[in-house]
Amino acid sequence: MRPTDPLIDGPEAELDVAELQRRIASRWPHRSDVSVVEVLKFPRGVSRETWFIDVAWADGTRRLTLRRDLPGGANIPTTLQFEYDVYRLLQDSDVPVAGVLWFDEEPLDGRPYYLRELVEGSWEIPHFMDPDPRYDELRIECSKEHMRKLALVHTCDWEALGFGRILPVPPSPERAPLTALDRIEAMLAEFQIEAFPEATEALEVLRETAPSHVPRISLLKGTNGIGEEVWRDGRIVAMSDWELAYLGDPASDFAHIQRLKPKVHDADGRLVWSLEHAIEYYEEISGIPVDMERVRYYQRFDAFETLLYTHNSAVPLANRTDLLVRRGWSSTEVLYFARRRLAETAGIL
Amino acid sequence: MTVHPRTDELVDSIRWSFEAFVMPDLTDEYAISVAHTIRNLLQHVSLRIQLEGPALDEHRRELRSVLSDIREFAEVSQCAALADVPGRVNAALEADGPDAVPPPGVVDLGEKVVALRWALDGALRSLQAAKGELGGDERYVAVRSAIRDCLGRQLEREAAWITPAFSGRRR
Repeated sequence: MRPTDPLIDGPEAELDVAELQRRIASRWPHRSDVSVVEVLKFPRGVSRETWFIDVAWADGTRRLTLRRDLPGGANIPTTLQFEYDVYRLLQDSDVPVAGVLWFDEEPLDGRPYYLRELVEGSWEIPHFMDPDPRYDELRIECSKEHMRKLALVHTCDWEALGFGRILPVPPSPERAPLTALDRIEAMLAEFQIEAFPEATEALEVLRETAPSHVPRISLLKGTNGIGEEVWRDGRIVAMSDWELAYLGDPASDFAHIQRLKPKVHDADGRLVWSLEHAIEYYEEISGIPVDMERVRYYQRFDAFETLLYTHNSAVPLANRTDLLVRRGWSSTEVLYFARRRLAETAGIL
Repeated sequence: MTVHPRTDELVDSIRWSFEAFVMPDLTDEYAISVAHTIRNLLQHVSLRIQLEGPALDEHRRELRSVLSDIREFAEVSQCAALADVPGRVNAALEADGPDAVPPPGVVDLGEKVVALRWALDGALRSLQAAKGELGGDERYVAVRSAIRDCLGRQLEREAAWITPAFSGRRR
C-alpha cells in the first residue's frame, strides 16, 4: 500500500462521522438510537479545526462542538489537552464557558479531539461595525459587557480552580511579565526552525522595560473581543478561544482585544467612549488598576506571541506533514508584521 | 531548455485562471475562505520569485560582513562572555562557503541565510550578555548598531513581497 503523501493526497480534512457516532453512543449507553444527524465545519479560525455536531437520540437532541488539531498539528503551540483543561477548570467558576463533555485521546482520523456543548449565539455582533451613530449606544454597551466579563476572568480564584497545575505561576506580580517572556521564549525554542535576531533584539528591550508595578496575578484570557467570544442579545454567553490563556498581569488582556475597542463621539464631537473609558469602567467593577503604560507594553509584547504561533505554522509546511494553505498565510504575512513590530520595539525600524 | 513561460508567468496564469473560473463557482463558505488565502499566497509567491533572490543575496553578504565585524570586536574585547564568539562565527562563515559560481538557487541561498542568521542570533545573545561589561565601549555600540541596520534593511526588502501581495479579502 502506498504511504500517505500530503503532497499527493492533501490534508485529511474530513470527519469520520460514523466512528464519531459510535464513540458518542458508547459514552451515552443510557440513550438509545444515538445518531449524528449533521456536521458542519466552522470556516473561521486558524488555530484548530472546529466542527459543529448535531446529535439526536430516541427522545432528545443536543448540539455539540468538536475541537481537534489540524492534520499536521495545531497552528498554536499550546496543546489541545491544555485548551480542554482550561474549559474544564472554568466549569465551576462564574466565567461563562461552554460545558465540556470529554477529551478522547483515542485518535479519530488520526487525531485526539474533545467535545463541548455548543452555546447558541454568534461571534459577530450585528451592527457593531456599522458607523451609523444610532449604533453608538450598542457599541458602548457591548464594550461594557466585554469589560464585565474580563473582570470576571481576572478576579476568579485561579489557584482554587487549579490553574497553577497547568500554567507557570509567576513567583510574584512584579515578575509576571518576565515569567511570560521566559515561557514564550522556551515554547519557541521547542520547535524553532530559523532564528529571528530582530526578536532577540526586542526581547532585550522587553526585559529591560517590563513593568514592575503589577497589582496582582490573574488568569488571562489571551486573545479576546470580537471573534473570540459567543454573543447573544448583546451579552457574552460564552467566552471562547482560550488557547493563549496564561497567568499574569491583567493589563495584558487589554493589549489582546480584537476589534472591541469602539471610539464613540457625541453630537458635539466630544469623545464619550474609548479604550480608556472602558478601562475606567473595568477598574470600577474589578478593583484592579490598569494603566495605559502597561497596556502599551503588552501591545509590544504581543508581537512576540504572534511570532511564536505564526512561526509554529511554518513547521508542518517545512516538514511536509500538513500543507494547509492557511499555514502559508499565517507564517508569511502575519509573521512578517510581527517581526516588524518587534523591530520597532528594538529601535531597528 | 526554454525560459518562457517563466515560473512567475506560470504562477500568474494559475492565479488568474483560479480567480476567473474556480472562485466564482465556489459556494461552500470554507472553500471560499480557503480560496481567498490561496489567491493572496499566489500573489505573494509571484512577487517572491521575482524579488527574493537578489534580496537574499544582499542579506547574505550583509550577514557575512556584520558577523566578521562581530568576530573582530570579540577578539579585541577580551571579554569572557564573548570568548567563544570568534570560533562560532568562523564555523558559520566556513559552512556558508565562498560565493558559489554559478550562484545557488533561491532555495539553497535561503538555507545559507538561515544558517547565517542562526550564527548572528547566537553572537547577538553573547553580545547582550556582555552589555554590562562592554555597553559603554563605542566599538560595542557600533557593532550592535551594525546588526540592527542589517536586520532593518532586510525587513524593508521583504516588504516588497508582503504588502502588495496581501490585498483584498483575506479569508
